[in-house]
Amino acid sequence: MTVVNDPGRKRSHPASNGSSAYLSRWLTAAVRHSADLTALADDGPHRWTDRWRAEARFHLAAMMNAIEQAIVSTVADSPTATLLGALGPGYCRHAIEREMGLLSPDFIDHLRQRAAIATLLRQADDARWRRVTPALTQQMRDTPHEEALTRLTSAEQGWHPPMLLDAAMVPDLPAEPFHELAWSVAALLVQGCARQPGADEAVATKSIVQATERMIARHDEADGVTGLVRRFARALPPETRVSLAPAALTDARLLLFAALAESAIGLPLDVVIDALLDPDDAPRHAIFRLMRIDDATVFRAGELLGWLTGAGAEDDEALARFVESYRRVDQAQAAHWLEAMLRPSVLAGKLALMAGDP
Amino acid sequence: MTMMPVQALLDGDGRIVSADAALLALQRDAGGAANGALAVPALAALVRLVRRLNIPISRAVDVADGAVDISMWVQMRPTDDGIAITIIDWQRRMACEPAAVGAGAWAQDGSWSWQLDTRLRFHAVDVDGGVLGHEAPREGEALTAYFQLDTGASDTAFVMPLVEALALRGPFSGQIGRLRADEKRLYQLSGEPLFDTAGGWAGYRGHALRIEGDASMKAAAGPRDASLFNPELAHRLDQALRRPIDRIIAHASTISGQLEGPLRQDYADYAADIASAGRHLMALVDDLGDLQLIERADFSTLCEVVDLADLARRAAGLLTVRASARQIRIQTPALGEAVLAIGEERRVLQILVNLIGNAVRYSPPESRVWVLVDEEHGRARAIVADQGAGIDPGDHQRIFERFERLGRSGDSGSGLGLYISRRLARAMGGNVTLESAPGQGARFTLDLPAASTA
Repeated sequence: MTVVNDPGRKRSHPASNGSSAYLSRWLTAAVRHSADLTALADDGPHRWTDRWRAEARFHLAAMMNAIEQAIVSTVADSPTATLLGALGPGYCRHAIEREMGLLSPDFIDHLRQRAAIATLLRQADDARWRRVTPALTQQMRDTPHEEALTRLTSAEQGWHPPMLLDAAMVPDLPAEPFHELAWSVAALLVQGCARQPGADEAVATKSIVQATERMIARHDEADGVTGLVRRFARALPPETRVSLAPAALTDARLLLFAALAESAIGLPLDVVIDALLDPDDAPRHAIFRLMRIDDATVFRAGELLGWLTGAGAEDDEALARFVESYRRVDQAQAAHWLEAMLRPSVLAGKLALMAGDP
Repeated sequence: MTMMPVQALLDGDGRIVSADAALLALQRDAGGAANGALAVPALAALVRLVRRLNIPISRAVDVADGAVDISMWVQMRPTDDGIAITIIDWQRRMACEPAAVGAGAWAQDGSWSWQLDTRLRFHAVDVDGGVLGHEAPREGEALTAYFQLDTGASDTAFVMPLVEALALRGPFSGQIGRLRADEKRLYQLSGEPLFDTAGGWAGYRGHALRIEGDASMKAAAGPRDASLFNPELAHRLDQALRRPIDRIIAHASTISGQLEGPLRQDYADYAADIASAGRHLMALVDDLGDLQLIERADFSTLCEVVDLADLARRAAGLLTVRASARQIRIQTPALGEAVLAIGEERRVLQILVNLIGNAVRYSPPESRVWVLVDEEHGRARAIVADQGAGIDPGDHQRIFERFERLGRSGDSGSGLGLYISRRLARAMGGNVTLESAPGQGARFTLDLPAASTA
């Protein structure tokens, strides 16, 4: 007997409670993704600042350029090579503007994070000549990890080269976003070839697929900056991870800070970055408290992240409120937040659904 | 530029208790009293913030003082009875003048900026190897590992401005440094000491200016090239042009790509034209850079085993787009075919790109370019043949001369490509030769020592 045909029982609450929460969550995610795609492609109000959006577009274009070049140069058969040649250089970075739907929410989330990290690095680079020595350099000088830090710093330079539209940026992405971008480029190339008169779509598709698979087979996500920074953080003694975190924030090294937090408190790196970029201050405050960040560094972090979170980097009143509210967050509150974040995501999702939280 | 920190103390109400002369002068210009609250708005705002939060705050502050802008790095630290202020990097400049030093501060005289830490290791460098024509210092590399510092001309008098300045923590100029990687390259170094917010010496910041070698070196190098484009001039042009052109291309690309927002399409197209013209200029600068390099008496190349067939395929791949635009088909060596030669990989690739690029440029539309490789009598060869108009035998030598373009249809290069290619090939123990006649296409051959017999 089911609930429905049990005359003695009636639903105390319409079935729409759980389903409406589910629907609400699904719609929110879909609308947000749609807004992200629009924001990435068009001008207008959006949850990305202009600088952030420009950086994200640059990373998307530059990584697509690199993948396109790799595929085009690997395609073996001449007719397909001719078709690809006729598309012209940088074909995909133009074509994606018409096909933004190819980019999934997960990829866009990753792109936002990557662009945020690069934006801050670019900003810190501008200020570098003003500050005598970066805090990280000062702290790591003459330690066994100094050399590794230098290597990491050099690797991060690759994420903020001059913004040339035809630049090619190494797509050192984690496997999932790399696959998605690679197949997006492949799809655009197949479509571009198929539209040309006299093209043999089947032959072109086969060649492009083979070239894409060869390129994907060579990709190793551990080679990228993210892999490097994770290895660096894990190699540090536990107490150093925490003591180095303020210096990473001071120097606008968001990725390094996130990796240190990942190693120190167990929260995945991308979740840490998401929390740091959240429009709400609460997740940021919790992470800072857990990493024992002092008020002055929190102020500096507020200055830096204000460009991305919309808090307004130049607004001292907002910064003061940011620090003052941080002071009200104690260790227990932060630990409670962490505990909730560390629950299995499926469980967290179910609990949120039942709570009607989209 | 004031390099020593400027200090001040404020009381609990934010009034000046003591201050260095530079800050007092600024306070006076802003209409404030010597013992009053800070009147410079940006500094006053920072004081309010520090008093409210009771935390140390450091940030860059720009202050307008009449026709002069003052740029500074300010640190304010709460104390028991007020606020301690330390200002470093106090730079005065006319409002229209760019920052004296810093990211992107490329001097017109071709000098570049650097910053050293207290152990005289490079902390920041405002130049890259492409501009310098040699490798730029790496972050963390010791100054003395990069430059051999000159101790003066005399055997008895030891003259080393940097050492004297180090002892006094003062500025220096005229320190000659020889590039360790290439001792014929001399730089004149000058710098100012840097101090941290506690007043401690924190390193040096300054410029490196490329200078010509001493008389004996010039004599050893033989008579200077009297032509318009002698190597020194080419080097200077390279240095003076590369950065501005880079910026033109970057800005034009940003505009044409509408990275910063939507734009009318015709305006975007104009910007794309500017970027395209910039790239053409950059290619010319690249050629001049290569010219400068290969003209040096000590120019040499690496000896590596390279696969001519593979390099030919890669070179052709780079030119596929250009060839396709004119329906020209490039036929490359088959996959799996290999001919091993001795040479420097990137230089061989450069030559092949030049030869195949020329073939594409001077071939009629819908024609074919062949790239063949073979090995014979201990020599490895890559042959690039086209179906173009051909070249008169009388011009076969002239075409390898500098800035020679023969006035053919399709001429748009610098006229340096073949000259550079032949010089590179000869430096690797090979040659570039031409067989052609009017109406019969052209056949360029790159010849190198074969790896199997080397």
